[in-house]
Amino acid sequence: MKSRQKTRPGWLAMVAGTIILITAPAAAAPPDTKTEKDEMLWLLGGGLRSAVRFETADKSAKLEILHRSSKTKPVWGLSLKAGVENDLGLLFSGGTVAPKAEATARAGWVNLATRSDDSSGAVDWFIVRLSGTGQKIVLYDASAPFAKQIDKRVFGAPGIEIRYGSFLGEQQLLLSIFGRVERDNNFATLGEVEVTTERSDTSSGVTRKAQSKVTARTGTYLERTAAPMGFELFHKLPTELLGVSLSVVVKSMRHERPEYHASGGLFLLKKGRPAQSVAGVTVAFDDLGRGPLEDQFSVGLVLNVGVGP
Amino acid sequence: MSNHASHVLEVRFSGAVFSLFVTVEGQEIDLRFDGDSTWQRTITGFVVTGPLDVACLAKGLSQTECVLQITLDGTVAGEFKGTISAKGIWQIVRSIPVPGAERA
Repeated sequence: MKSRQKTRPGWLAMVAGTIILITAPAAAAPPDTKTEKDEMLWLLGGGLRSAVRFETADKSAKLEILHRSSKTKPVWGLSLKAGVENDLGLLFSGGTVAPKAEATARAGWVNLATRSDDSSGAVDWFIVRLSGTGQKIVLYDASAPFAKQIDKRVFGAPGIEIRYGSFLGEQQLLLSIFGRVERDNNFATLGEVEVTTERSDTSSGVTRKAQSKVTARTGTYLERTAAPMGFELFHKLPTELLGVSLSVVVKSMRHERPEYHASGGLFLLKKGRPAQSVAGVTVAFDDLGRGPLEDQFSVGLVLNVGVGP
Repeated sequence: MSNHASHVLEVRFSGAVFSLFVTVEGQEIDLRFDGDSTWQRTITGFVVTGPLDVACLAKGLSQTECVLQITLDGTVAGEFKGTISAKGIWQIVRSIPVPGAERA
C-alpha cells in the first residue's frame, strides 16, 4: 500500500459563479461575506418559492424551499444540501469523493424592535436554525495494522443556531451576533491522501497487478461538541461602491482549547445593486494561536461572475 | 374607468432592499418576493374612488436602485424610480391621477 500526499496548490480557481484565487498558504477558503446580505434579502421574501442552487465555492448543490404566508408571519425555510469534502485537485484527478449532506430547517422573524413603516432606516431580525449533517469519513492511519489502516465511517451531526441581526441605515452597517451548538469534527483540517492498494498474483509466473484507489484523510481525527459564537459586520461606504467586512468567531469545545477565527474583506459592490459584490480581497486568520501565524493566515481574491443575489 | 368601479391593481417593486413598505389608498400591500429582487402583488376588485394615493418606504444599502410600478387594469398608471440615500432609505408619496375616477 502506498500513499501520495496532496500537494496544496498555490492558487485554486473555480469558475461558474464564483472565482476564488487564494494567493497565500491557504488553510481555508475566503469567508462568505455575502451571508448577512443574503439572509436579509431572504427574510424579506414572501410566498412560497423553491430554488436549486449550485454553489461552487463549497462544491455543493442546494435545494431550498422558503415560505412566508404574510408579511406579519414568520418565514419558514427548509434546505437540503449535498456536496463533497475533497480538495478539487484530487477530486478531478480521479480520486473518490468524500460526500457530505446537510438538512436545515429555519424560521425567521423581521422587525422585532423596528418597524417597516418608520423612516429610521433600521431593520432587525432573528433566526433559529436546526440542522443535521451526514458525512462520510475515510481515514488512513499508516501506523495501524494493515487491515485497519483504512477506517470508513459515517459522521452524524445535529446542530442548533440562533442569530440576531440588525441593519442600521444611517451607518450603512449590517451587524449580527450568533451562537451555535453542534457536533463537529476536524476532518476538513486533516491532510488529504490518495491511497492506492495493489494486489499482485505471480502464481502463474506472470505478474498481474490490480489497483484500487481511495481518497482519505490522515492525522489525528477528533469528534467533539462545539459551540461557536461570534459576530459579523458589513459596512458600506455611503458614497462609494465599496464595502468592508469583519467576522470574529470563538469556537469553544469540551476538553480542548478554544479556536479563534477572524476574517475581513474589502469589496467592490455592483452599481445599482450594492447588496451584491463584484470583487473583493479577503484576509483570514484561521485558528489563531494554533501554530506559526503564517500557517493560519490566508489572503483571497473573490470575483463574482454575473450571479446573484 | 368609472367612479367607484373595482379594478385589477398590480404593484411591482424592483430593488435589492432589506425592508419594504408600500401602501395604496392607505392600505398596506403585502408584496410577495420572487427570490431575487422583485416584489409583486396583484389585487382584483380594488375599488378606486379617485387619484391613487401611493406611498413607498424601502430600506437598504445606499445607491441601491429602486423602481415602483403601479398598474391598473393592465395599464401602467405610474412608475417611480429612485435610489436609496446615504441614510439607507428611499421614500416617496405620490398621487396618481386615474382617468374617470374622482374623489367621492
